[in-house]
Amino acid sequence: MAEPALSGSDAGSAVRLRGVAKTYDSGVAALGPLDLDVASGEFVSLLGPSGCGKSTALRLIAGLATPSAGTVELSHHGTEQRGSHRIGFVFQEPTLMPWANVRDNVRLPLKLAHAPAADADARIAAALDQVGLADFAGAYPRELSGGMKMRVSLARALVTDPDILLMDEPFAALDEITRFRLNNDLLSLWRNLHKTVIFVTHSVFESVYLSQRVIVMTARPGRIGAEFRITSPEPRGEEFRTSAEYAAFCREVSGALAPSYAGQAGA
Amino acid sequence: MKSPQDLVRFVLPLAVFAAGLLLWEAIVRAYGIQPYVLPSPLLVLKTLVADWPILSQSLGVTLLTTLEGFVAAAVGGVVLALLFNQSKWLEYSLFPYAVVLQVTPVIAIAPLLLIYLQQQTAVIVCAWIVAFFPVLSNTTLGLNSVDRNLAGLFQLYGASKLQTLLFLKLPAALPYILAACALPAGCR
Repeated sequence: MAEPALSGSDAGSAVRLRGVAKTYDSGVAALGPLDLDVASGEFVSLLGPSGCGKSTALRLIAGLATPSAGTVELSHHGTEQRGSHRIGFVFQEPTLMPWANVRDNVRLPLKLAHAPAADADARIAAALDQVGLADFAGAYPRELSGGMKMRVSLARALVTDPDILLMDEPFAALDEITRFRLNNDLLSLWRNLHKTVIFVTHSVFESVYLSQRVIVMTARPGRIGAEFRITSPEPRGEEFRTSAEYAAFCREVSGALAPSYAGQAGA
Repeated sequence: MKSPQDLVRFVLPLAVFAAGLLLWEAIVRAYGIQPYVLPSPLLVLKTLVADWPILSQSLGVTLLTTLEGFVAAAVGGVVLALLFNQSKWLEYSLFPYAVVLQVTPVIAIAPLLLIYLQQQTAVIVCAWIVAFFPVLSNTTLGLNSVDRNLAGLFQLYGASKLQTLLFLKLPAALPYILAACALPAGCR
């Protein structure tokens, strides 16, 4: 198994945040200041209570929002253009167009970039194959289960072959069995495709299972509270999920997360 | 193949219609009501057949006016909504006047229109004034109902304004537009 470089200070840094903060017009400080380096090919989870600004951080990295302070730098290998199609984004909801079938939903990023049709068809077929939906290209979103819709959303994010995959609690609304399966599929995709993944979640167990690095965020305004390297080797599978090593990591991360919830009423 | 359920849905309204006509005919005959007060359905039918050449011509004119007014309102409402959606300046400048036009009784404007315009045009403009506003406001609602994350996705992939309009806003607004078009069609 290829083991991507773990050191964030390498030249292969994919995302670099310096003093990034977000304050909303209402005066609410949502995030930061936040310093974060993500190495190219790394799988990092942002873990924190809801409302801690972890989704905001992801939107800032994607360029969907502008920081009130600080800088967001992305370095892409290959072309240096700030073409935002180097980023794939998966939202908490599948966010599919209900009037378009699976194939046309996955086609969207290519269509917006005016990609040639023949090339687009091949890419769409490959992306659907990667998420195991090759047989459902003609289906409409309403005909699919929640897990399958999420797979379509993932295929749409992968179809442009992005360097960086940003995922905002993508599996939070799924049942446990489906979530475990998608976790495993995501891990094998990450191993095969060598993407940089930044994964936002509020599940300790999910973050430890998936990530090389778990970043625990504090309550609003979100800052980095603690950082854990999950050194367990790849490939991880169901044995890892039930191992003592996994349980120990989860206990450690949960302990670091507890203060983030301490200030919240009723938590 | 029609299921029994479909057949019932088709037959029941017809039965009610026939029963209504029978009752009407019976009442007119039983009380000996004069035709100039309330003609019986049979007399209406006879007159319709006898004077068909004149009546059909008038029917044609009315239908055409209705259709023209409807098309003008539907197209005008959708186009205005699209323009407002593309330019906030235009929306802020003109939307108050669309509301004013909507709440002004058409009876107050109609005589002026009849003076300034040819009769046929004046009638269509009247129809337009009554009918365009529901289309405008509903289409605006539909264009603004776009899923926030889908809009974010279009932004992420560098979609142009036109692409966002054609591939995202219009399809999302279509149910609202169609619902709105059903409203003025009934306002005739």
